[in-house]
Amino acid sequence: MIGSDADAGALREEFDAALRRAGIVVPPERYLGTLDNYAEMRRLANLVHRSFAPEDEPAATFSVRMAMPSADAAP
Amino acid sequence: MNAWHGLPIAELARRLRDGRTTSVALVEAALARAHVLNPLLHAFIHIAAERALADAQRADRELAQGVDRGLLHGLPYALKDIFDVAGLPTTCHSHVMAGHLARRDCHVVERLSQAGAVLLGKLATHEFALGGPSRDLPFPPARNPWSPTHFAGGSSSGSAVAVASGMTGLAIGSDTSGSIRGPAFYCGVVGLKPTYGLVSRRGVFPLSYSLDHCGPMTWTVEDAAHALQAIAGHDPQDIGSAHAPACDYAGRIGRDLHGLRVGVPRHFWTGTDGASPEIVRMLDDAAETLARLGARVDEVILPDFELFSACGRLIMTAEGYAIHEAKLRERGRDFGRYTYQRLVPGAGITSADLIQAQRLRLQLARQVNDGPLRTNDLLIGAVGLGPAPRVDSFPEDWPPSMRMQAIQFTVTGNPALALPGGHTAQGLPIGFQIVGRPFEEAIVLQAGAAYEADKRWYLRTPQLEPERAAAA
Repeated sequence: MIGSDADAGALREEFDAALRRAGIVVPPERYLGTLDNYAEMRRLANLVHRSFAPEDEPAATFSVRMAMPSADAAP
Repeated sequence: MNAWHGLPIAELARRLRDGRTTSVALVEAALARAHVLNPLLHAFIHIAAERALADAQRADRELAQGVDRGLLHGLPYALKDIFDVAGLPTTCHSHVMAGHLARRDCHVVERLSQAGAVLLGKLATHEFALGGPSRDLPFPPARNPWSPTHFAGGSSSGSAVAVASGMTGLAIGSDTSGSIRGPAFYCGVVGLKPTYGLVSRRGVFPLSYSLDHCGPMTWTVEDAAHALQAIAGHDPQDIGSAHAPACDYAGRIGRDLHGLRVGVPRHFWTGTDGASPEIVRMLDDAAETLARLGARVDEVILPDFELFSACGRLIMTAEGYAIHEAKLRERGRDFGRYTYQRLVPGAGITSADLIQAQRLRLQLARQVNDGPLRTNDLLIGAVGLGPAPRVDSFPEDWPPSMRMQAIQFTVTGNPALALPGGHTAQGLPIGFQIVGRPFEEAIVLQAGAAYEADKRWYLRTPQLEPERAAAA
């Protein structure tokens, strides 16, 4: 899942930076498996980053209906 | 098998009302079967025997007094252990949730209680509906009744195993990237992932807010329809809950398929990295069967499966990571290895990654529903690309990669019914899925029931060692 040594090194640095930002310390015995899965996530992310035509833009990603109080909510 | 196993819900309901059986008798039979089989199959994490018998007695009293709550009244069921039941543990099959007792019923349990169904207990799952058949969890993984050395699928593993082995006729699971349909496929049972939002997720521990679906797992298609009837419906306390029109989900069962149009995206499972020859033959046979039953069947083209997979897995990982972020930081070792290694990479998914995945999701849903599901009423598709692998083939340090094709319809939110399609030469179940337009579960179930009635795979049940030993 990880390409050249340079790619692998860059990916590991990127992953380690994300972990530092998140405050997560990965146990040593789980590090390589977690890194492998991170590499897979980056591969997937590359697939979804694509250009959209203006007509493909959604009108919205939020609806106020999401925030309306439910019938059961306390007044 | 139980004397009642394989009897459809409608038949059990008749026998409860004409005095041939009682709810107490059904529950006692289920508990007795679980007592024998659960030590081998590990379907149940928690069996609430006293509560079940008390509820069964109440059901019998009500029915005797003429209080009839519907088809499920007095019938036993079980829940994947991410669904809350007031006063019972919800463990999510994780050390992280040790000691957690739910304070209120989830919406699904509220509905099933109103329907008079009797809860047997909580069922094994992959940790937090994600991890895998891991060995570092508080309970052992559920085992496939057709071959206990083979994978039962997940994450609704216990739900599928309990139904396949006759411990219960109805189990409730959840599906985020195939977690109802995958175990249904591997265990030879019916699993229905309804339209997104049709069944409330309130009180169900989330894996991914945007992708989680709840649905029934049963022995027959008609039973799935009856179960859906009980649990579907708008819940104002779940903001993802759909305002769906009222529907008789079993109302089209028994009709032939003339007039229905079925699309087959064969390109999804053929090719160099495609399904095993047995799966391909089974899918081709399923298409031919639906045509013989009156449907018009044509090949269709869907967007590249990799796009659905990338979209769904990114959203699932990002949301799953956010849900567990604090616990991963504070007590990461309490998570099983598989779950941990699948969640922590979410820390590196950027906001742009997630937004792009959400935009792509909308585009894919439109392409499916404005494309093949405009010119067709239904699609059929693979669930697994090969039969259940052996459990001892899973690597120690990496979550098993199941070759599944279920995530596309959690991404689009369409209803999808997994049903048995036969067995391999080794006797392991294989099956497929039928997909419909949003909120057209009745048509999906119509087609599934017609196929099932023609093929009758439900007549074949797993032969379990305790049964063989008892028969010897």
